[in-house]
Amino acid sequence: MQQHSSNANTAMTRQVNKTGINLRDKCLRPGDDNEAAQQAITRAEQALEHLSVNFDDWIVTESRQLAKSRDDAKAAGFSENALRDLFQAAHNLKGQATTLGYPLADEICASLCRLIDKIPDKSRLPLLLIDQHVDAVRAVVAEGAKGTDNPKASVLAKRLHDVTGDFLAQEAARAGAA
Amino acid sequence: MAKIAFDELRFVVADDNAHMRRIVRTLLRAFGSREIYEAEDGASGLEAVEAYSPDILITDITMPIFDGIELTRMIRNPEGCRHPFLPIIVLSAYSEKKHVIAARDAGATEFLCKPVSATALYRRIQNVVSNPRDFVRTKSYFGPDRRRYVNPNYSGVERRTGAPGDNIVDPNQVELEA
Repeated sequence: MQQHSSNANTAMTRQVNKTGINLRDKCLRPGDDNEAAQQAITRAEQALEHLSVNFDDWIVTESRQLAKSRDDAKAAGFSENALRDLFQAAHNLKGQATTLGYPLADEICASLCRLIDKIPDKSRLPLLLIDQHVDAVRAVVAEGAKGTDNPKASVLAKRLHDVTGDFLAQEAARAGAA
Repeated sequence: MAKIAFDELRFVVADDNAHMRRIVRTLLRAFGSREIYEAEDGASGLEAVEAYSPDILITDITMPIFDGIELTRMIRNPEGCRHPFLPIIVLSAYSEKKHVIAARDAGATEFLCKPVSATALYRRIQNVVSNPRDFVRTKSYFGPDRRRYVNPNYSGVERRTGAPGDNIVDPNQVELEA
Protein backbone atom coordinates (compact mmCIF):
# COMPACT_ATOMS: atom_id res chain seq x y z
CA MET A 1 0.00 0.00 0.00
CA GLN A 2 1.24 3.45 -0.79
CA GLN A 3 1.82 6.15 1.71
CA HIS A 4 1.56 9.85 0.94
CA SER A 5 3.08 12.46 3.16
CA SER A 6 2.02 15.86 1.90
CA ASN A 7 -1.54 15.92 3.23
CA ALA A 8 -2.33 14.20 6.50
CA ASN A 9 -6.10 14.41 6.10
CA THR A 10 -6.42 13.05 2.63
CA ALA A 11 -3.46 10.75 2.28
CA MET A 12 -3.87 7.00 2.18
CA THR A 13 -7.26 6.83 0.55
CA ARG A 14 -7.92 3.15 0.25
CA GLN A 15 -10.50 1.64 -2.03
CA VAL A 16 -11.84 -1.09 0.17
CA ASN A 17 -14.51 -2.86 -1.77
CA LYS A 18 -17.10 -2.72 -4.46
CA THR A 19 -20.00 -2.00 -2.12
CA GLY A 20 -20.18 -4.54 0.67
CA ILE A 21 -23.87 -5.09 -0.07
CA ASN A 22 -24.53 -6.56 -3.46
CA LEU A 23 -28.00 -5.35 -4.36
CA ARG A 24 -27.44 -6.20 -7.99
CA ASP A 25 -27.44 -9.91 -7.26
CA LYS A 26 -30.26 -9.56 -4.79
CA CYS A 27 -32.80 -7.65 -6.83
CA LEU A 28 -31.83 -7.16 -10.46
CA ARG A 29 -33.82 -9.41 -12.77
CA PRO A 30 -33.73 -9.89 -16.53
CA GLY A 31 -36.10 -7.53 -18.27
CA ASP A 32 -36.54 -4.18 -19.91
CA ASP A 33 -35.29 -1.65 -17.38
CA ASN A 34 -36.81 1.38 -19.08
CA GLU A 35 -40.23 -0.18 -19.45
CA ALA A 36 -40.20 -1.43 -15.85
CA ALA A 37 -39.11 1.98 -14.61
CA GLN A 38 -41.83 3.76 -16.53
CA GLN A 39 -44.48 1.36 -15.25
CA ALA A 40 -43.29 1.73 -11.65
CA ILE A 41 -43.18 5.52 -11.89
CA THR A 42 -46.66 5.65 -13.42
CA ARG A 43 -48.00 3.40 -10.65
CA ALA A 44 -46.37 5.64 -8.04
CA GLU A 45 -47.82 8.81 -9.56
CA GLN A 46 -51.27 7.19 -9.59
CA ALA A 47 -50.82 6.13 -5.96
CA LEU A 48 -49.92 9.71 -5.04
CA GLU A 49 -53.00 10.89 -6.89
CA HIS A 50 -55.12 8.55 -4.76
CA LEU A 51 -53.36 9.76 -1.63
CA SER A 52 -53.97 13.38 -2.59
CA VAL A 53 -57.52 13.29 -1.22
CA ASN A 54 -55.79 13.81 2.14
CA PHE A 55 -53.53 16.65 1.04
CA ASP A 56 -55.86 19.56 1.83
CA ASP A 57 -56.28 18.29 5.38
CA TRP A 58 -52.54 17.75 5.72
CA ILE A 59 -51.62 21.24 4.56
CA VAL A 60 -54.13 22.74 7.01
CA THR A 61 -52.54 20.71 9.83
CA GLU A 62 -49.05 21.83 8.82
CA SER A 63 -50.02 25.49 8.47
CA ARG A 64 -51.65 25.38 11.90
CA GLN A 65 -48.46 23.90 13.30
CA LEU A 66 -46.53 26.76 11.72
CA ALA A 67 -48.85 29.33 13.30
CA LYS A 68 -48.61 27.59 16.68
CA SER A 69 -44.81 27.58 16.47
CA ARG A 70 -44.91 31.29 15.67
CA ASP A 71 -47.19 31.94 18.69
CA ASP A 72 -44.99 29.80 20.95
CA ALA A 73 -41.88 31.61 19.72
CA LYS A 74 -43.48 34.97 20.49
CA ALA A 75 -44.51 33.80 23.96
CA ALA A 76 -40.97 32.56 24.60
CA GLY A 77 -39.43 35.84 23.47
CA PHE A 78 -37.95 34.11 20.42
CA SER A 79 -35.64 31.98 22.52
CA GLU A 80 -33.16 29.80 20.72
CA ASN A 81 -35.27 26.65 21.17
CA ALA A 82 -38.50 28.37 20.16
CA LEU A 83 -36.85 29.85 17.09
CA ARG A 84 -35.50 26.42 16.16
CA ASP A 85 -39.02 24.98 16.43
CA LEU A 86 -40.40 27.77 14.25
CA PHE A 87 -37.69 27.16 11.65
CA GLN A 88 -38.43 23.43 11.80
CA ALA A 89 -42.16 23.98 11.21
CA ALA A 90 -41.44 26.27 8.25
CA HIS A 91 -38.86 23.84 6.90
CA ASN A 92 -41.26 20.90 7.19
CA LEU A 93 -43.88 22.81 5.25
CA LYS A 94 -41.32 23.91 2.69
CA GLY A 95 -40.43 20.27 2.10
CA GLN A 96 -43.94 19.05 1.41
CA ALA A 97 -46.12 22.01 0.35
CA THR A 98 -45.37 21.49 -3.35
CA THR A 99 -46.15 17.78 -3.11
CA LEU A 100 -49.39 18.69 -1.36
CA GLY A 101 -50.29 21.01 -4.24
CA TYR A 102 -49.30 24.37 -2.75
CA PRO A 103 -46.02 25.49 -4.31
CA LEU A 104 -46.59 29.13 -3.32
CA ALA A 105 -46.76 28.07 0.34
CA ASP A 106 -43.46 26.30 -0.33
CA GLU A 107 -41.97 29.56 -1.65
CA ILE A 108 -43.20 31.59 1.32
CA CYS A 109 -41.83 29.04 3.79
CA ALA A 110 -38.50 29.05 1.95
CA SER A 111 -38.39 32.81 2.42
CA LEU A 112 -39.20 32.48 6.13
CA CYS A 113 -36.50 29.82 6.58
CA ARG A 114 -34.02 32.08 4.83
CA LEU A 115 -34.96 34.99 7.10
CA ILE A 116 -34.45 32.97 10.28
CA ASP A 117 -31.34 31.19 9.07
CA LYS A 118 -29.44 34.03 7.45
CA ILE A 119 -30.01 37.02 9.70
CA PRO A 120 -26.66 37.76 11.36
CA ASP A 121 -28.17 38.89 14.68
CA LYS A 122 -31.17 36.80 15.75
CA SER A 123 -32.23 39.46 18.25
CA ARG A 124 -33.00 41.71 15.31
CA LEU A 125 -35.50 39.34 13.69
CA PRO A 126 -38.41 41.48 12.48
CA LEU A 127 -41.55 40.18 14.17
CA LEU A 128 -43.82 41.87 11.66
CA LEU A 129 -42.11 40.17 8.74
CA ILE A 130 -42.32 36.79 10.47
CA ASP A 131 -46.03 37.37 11.06
CA GLN A 132 -46.52 38.34 7.44
CA HIS A 133 -44.93 35.10 6.25
CA VAL A 134 -46.97 32.90 8.58
CA ASP A 135 -50.21 34.73 7.83
CA ALA A 136 -49.49 34.54 4.11
CA VAL A 137 -49.12 30.75 4.29
CA ARG A 138 -52.40 30.49 6.17
CA ALA A 139 -54.09 32.74 3.62
CA VAL A 140 -52.78 30.68 0.69
CA VAL A 141 -54.10 27.53 2.32
CA ALA A 142 -57.41 29.10 3.36
CA GLU A 143 -57.96 30.42 -0.16
CA GLY A 144 -57.11 27.04 -1.65
CA ALA A 145 -54.50 28.74 -3.80
CA LYS A 146 -53.08 25.61 -5.42
CA GLY A 147 -50.50 25.67 -8.17
CA THR A 148 -48.81 28.91 -9.13
CA ASP A 149 -51.69 30.56 -10.98
CA ASN A 150 -53.37 32.48 -8.19
CA PRO A 151 -52.39 36.09 -8.97
CA LYS A 152 -52.77 37.48 -5.44
CA ALA A 153 -50.88 34.60 -3.85
CA SER A 154 -48.13 34.85 -6.47
CA VAL A 155 -47.66 38.57 -5.84
CA LEU A 156 -47.68 37.98 -2.10
CA ALA A 157 -45.02 35.26 -2.30
CA LYS A 158 -42.80 37.36 -4.56
CA ARG A 159 -43.20 40.46 -2.39
CA LEU A 160 -42.24 38.56 0.76
CA HIS A 161 -39.24 37.07 -1.04
CA ASP A 162 -38.08 40.51 -2.19
CA VAL A 163 -38.65 42.28 1.12
CA THR A 164 -36.80 39.50 2.95
CA GLY A 165 -33.91 39.74 0.51
CA ASP A 166 -33.67 43.51 0.95
CA PHE A 167 -33.89 43.21 4.72
CA LEU A 168 -31.18 40.54 4.89
CA ALA A 169 -28.92 42.63 2.66
CA GLN A 170 -29.34 45.59 5.01
CA GLU A 171 -28.64 43.44 8.04
CA ALA A 172 -25.55 41.95 6.43
CA ALA A 173 -24.26 45.43 5.61
CA ARG A 174 -25.01 46.56 9.16
CA ALA A 175 -23.20 43.56 10.63
CA GLY A 176 -20.26 44.17 8.31
CA ALA A 177 -20.02 47.80 9.34
CA ALA A 178 -20.16 47.00 13.05
CA MET B 1 -30.54 -4.15 -19.12
CA ALA B 2 -32.21 -5.45 -15.99
CA LYS B 3 -35.19 -4.41 -13.93
CA ILE B 4 -35.34 -3.97 -10.19
CA ALA B 5 -37.30 -6.50 -8.13
CA PHE B 6 -38.56 -4.05 -5.53
CA ASP B 7 -40.25 -6.86 -3.61
CA GLU B 8 -36.76 -8.03 -2.68
CA LEU B 9 -35.79 -4.66 -1.21
CA ARG B 10 -36.28 -3.70 2.42
CA PHE B 11 -36.40 0.00 3.31
CA VAL B 12 -36.20 2.12 6.44
CA VAL B 13 -37.66 5.61 6.05
CA ALA B 14 -36.58 8.10 8.73
CA ASP B 15 -38.42 11.42 8.80
CA ASP B 16 -39.95 13.30 11.69
CA ASN B 17 -42.92 14.34 9.59
CA ALA B 18 -45.64 11.69 9.42
CA HIS B 19 -47.09 13.08 6.20
CA MET B 20 -43.75 12.86 4.44
CA ARG B 21 -43.23 9.29 5.67
CA ARG B 22 -46.66 8.40 4.30
CA ILE B 23 -45.79 9.94 0.92
CA VAL B 24 -42.49 8.09 0.66
CA ARG B 25 -44.08 4.83 1.80
CA THR B 26 -46.80 5.25 -0.84
CA LEU B 27 -44.19 5.72 -3.57
CA LEU B 28 -42.13 2.73 -2.43
CA ARG B 29 -45.17 0.46 -2.22
CA ALA B 30 -46.23 1.52 -5.70
CA PHE B 31 -42.74 0.66 -6.94
CA GLY B 32 -43.35 -2.82 -5.58
CA SER B 33 -41.64 -2.83 -2.19
CA ARG B 34 -43.43 -4.67 0.60
CA GLU B 35 -41.06 -4.20 3.53
CA ILE B 36 -40.95 -0.58 4.61
CA TYR B 37 -40.19 0.39 8.18
CA GLU B 38 -40.58 3.91 9.51
CA ALA B 39 -38.68 5.94 12.10
CA GLU B 40 -39.56 9.40 13.37
CA ASP B 41 -36.17 10.55 14.62
CA GLY B 42 -32.49 9.78 14.27
CA ALA B 43 -32.33 7.46 17.27
CA SER B 44 -35.23 5.31 16.17
CA GLY B 45 -33.78 5.38 12.67
CA LEU B 46 -30.58 3.82 13.97
CA GLU B 47 -32.58 1.28 15.97
CA ALA B 48 -34.60 0.38 12.89
CA VAL B 49 -31.44 -0.12 10.86
CA GLU B 50 -30.06 -2.46 13.50
CA ALA B 51 -33.36 -4.29 13.97
CA TYR B 52 -34.46 -4.72 10.36
CA SER B 53 -31.19 -4.75 8.40
CA PRO B 54 -32.65 -2.80 5.50
CA ASP B 55 -31.19 -2.76 2.01
CA ILE B 56 -31.64 1.00 1.70
CA LEU B 57 -32.16 3.79 4.23
CA ILE B 58 -34.01 6.93 3.18
CA THR B 59 -33.51 9.71 5.73
CA ASP B 60 -34.47 13.32 6.24
CA ILE B 61 -31.82 15.68 7.61
CA THR B 62 -33.72 17.70 10.20
CA MET B 63 -34.98 15.35 12.89
CA PRO B 64 -35.16 15.33 16.70
CA ILE B 65 -32.60 13.65 18.98
CA PHE B 66 -30.02 13.44 16.23
CA ASP B 67 -30.36 14.45 12.66
CA GLY B 68 -29.90 12.61 9.39
CA ILE B 69 -26.29 13.72 9.02
CA GLU B 70 -25.42 12.34 12.45
CA LEU B 71 -27.40 9.19 11.70
CA THR B 72 -25.37 8.70 8.52
CA ARG B 73 -22.11 9.19 10.43
CA MET B 74 -23.15 6.66 13.05
CA ILE B 75 -24.04 4.07 10.44
CA ARG B 76 -20.74 4.58 8.65
CA ASN B 77 -18.87 3.99 11.90
CA PRO B 78 -18.23 0.24 11.91
CA GLU B 79 -17.70 0.32 15.66
CA GLY B 80 -21.16 1.77 16.18
CA CYS B 81 -23.26 -0.01 13.58
CA ARG B 82 -23.36 -3.43 12.00
CA HIS B 83 -24.30 -2.06 8.58
CA PRO B 84 -21.59 0.42 7.57
CA PHE B 85 -22.09 -0.31 3.86
CA LEU B 86 -25.81 0.44 3.93
CA PRO B 87 -26.85 2.61 0.96
CA ILE B 88 -28.23 5.88 2.37
CA ILE B 89 -30.42 8.26 0.38
CA VAL B 90 -30.72 11.65 2.08
CA LEU B 91 -34.08 13.22 1.28
CA SER B 92 -34.23 16.82 2.47
CA ALA B 93 -35.80 20.20 1.89
CA TYR B 94 -32.30 21.61 2.27
CA SER B 95 -31.00 22.32 -1.17
CA GLU B 96 -28.04 24.58 -0.39
CA LYS B 97 -24.63 23.30 -1.38
CA LYS B 98 -23.35 23.25 2.20
CA HIS B 99 -25.99 20.70 3.19
CA VAL B 100 -25.30 18.51 0.17
CA ILE B 101 -21.60 18.56 1.02
CA ALA B 102 -22.30 17.81 4.69
CA ALA B 103 -24.37 14.79 3.69
CA ARG B 104 -21.72 13.62 1.24
CA ASP B 105 -18.94 14.01 3.79
CA ALA B 106 -20.93 12.08 6.37
CA GLY B 107 -21.09 9.17 3.94
CA ALA B 108 -24.45 9.55 2.19
CA THR B 109 -24.80 7.57 -1.01
CA GLU B 110 -27.31 9.82 -2.75
CA PHE B 111 -28.94 13.20 -2.07
CA LEU B 112 -32.47 14.02 -3.12
CA CYS B 113 -34.14 17.40 -2.61
CA LYS B 114 -37.76 17.77 -1.56
CA PRO B 115 -40.31 18.08 -3.02
CA VAL B 116 -39.95 14.40 -3.79
CA SER B 117 -41.22 13.04 -7.09
CA ALA B 118 -41.80 9.45 -8.15
CA THR B 119 -39.28 9.80 -10.97
CA ALA B 120 -36.52 11.30 -8.85
CA LEU B 121 -36.90 8.75 -6.06
CA TYR B 122 -36.96 5.85 -8.53
CA ARG B 123 -33.81 7.13 -10.25
CA ARG B 124 -31.92 7.42 -6.96
CA ILE B 125 -32.87 3.87 -5.97
CA GLN B 126 -31.99 2.64 -9.44
CA ASN B 127 -28.59 4.29 -9.12
CA VAL B 128 -27.99 2.70 -5.73
CA VAL B 129 -28.89 -0.76 -7.05
CA SER B 130 -27.46 -0.68 -10.56
CA ASN B 131 -24.43 1.56 -10.14
CA PRO B 132 -23.10 0.92 -6.65
CA ARG B 133 -20.19 3.08 -5.65
CA ASP B 134 -16.94 1.74 -4.33
CA PHE B 135 -16.23 2.40 -0.68
CA VAL B 136 -13.10 4.14 0.47
CA ARG B 137 -11.50 4.57 3.83
CA THR B 138 -9.23 7.40 4.88
CA LYS B 139 -8.12 8.60 8.27
CA SER B 140 -11.18 10.81 8.51
CA TYR B 141 -13.75 9.19 6.25
CA PHE B 142 -15.35 5.87 5.56
CA GLY B 143 -18.09 5.66 2.98
CA PRO B 144 -18.95 5.68 -0.70
CA ASP B 145 -16.24 7.12 -2.91
CA ARG B 146 -17.13 10.80 -3.19
CA ARG B 147 -15.70 10.97 -6.68
CA ARG B 148 -18.07 10.22 -9.50
CA TYR B 149 -15.38 10.38 -12.13
CA VAL B 150 -12.22 8.32 -12.16
CA ASN B 151 -9.27 9.95 -13.85
CA PRO B 152 -6.77 7.18 -14.63
CA ASN B 153 -4.02 9.76 -15.09
CA TYR B 154 -4.47 11.37 -11.68
CA SER B 155 -1.35 10.94 -9.59
CA GLY B 156 -1.91 13.35 -6.69
CA VAL B 157 -1.91 12.57 -3.01
CA GLU B 158 -5.58 11.61 -2.98
CA ARG B 159 -5.29 8.92 -5.62
CA ARG B 160 -6.92 5.62 -4.76
CA THR B 161 -4.77 2.69 -3.73
CA GLY B 162 -5.55 -0.99 -3.49
CA ALA B 163 -7.02 -3.20 -6.14
CA PRO B 164 -10.33 -1.99 -7.55
CA GLY B 165 -12.99 -4.52 -6.73
CA ASP B 166 -11.35 -5.86 -3.59
CA ASN B 167 -14.29 -7.38 -1.81
CA ILE B 168 -13.65 -6.71 1.83
CA VAL B 169 -16.97 -6.87 3.60
CA ASP B 170 -15.83 -5.79 7.04
CA PRO B 171 -14.22 -2.35 6.94
CA ASN B 172 -12.42 -3.18 10.18
CA GLN B 173 -10.38 -5.67 8.20
CA VAL B 174 -8.88 -2.87 6.15
CA GLU B 175 -5.67 -1.71 7.68
CA LEU B 176 -4.27 1.71 6.94
CA GLU B 177 -0.55 2.02 6.92
CA ALA B 178 0.87 4.30 9.55
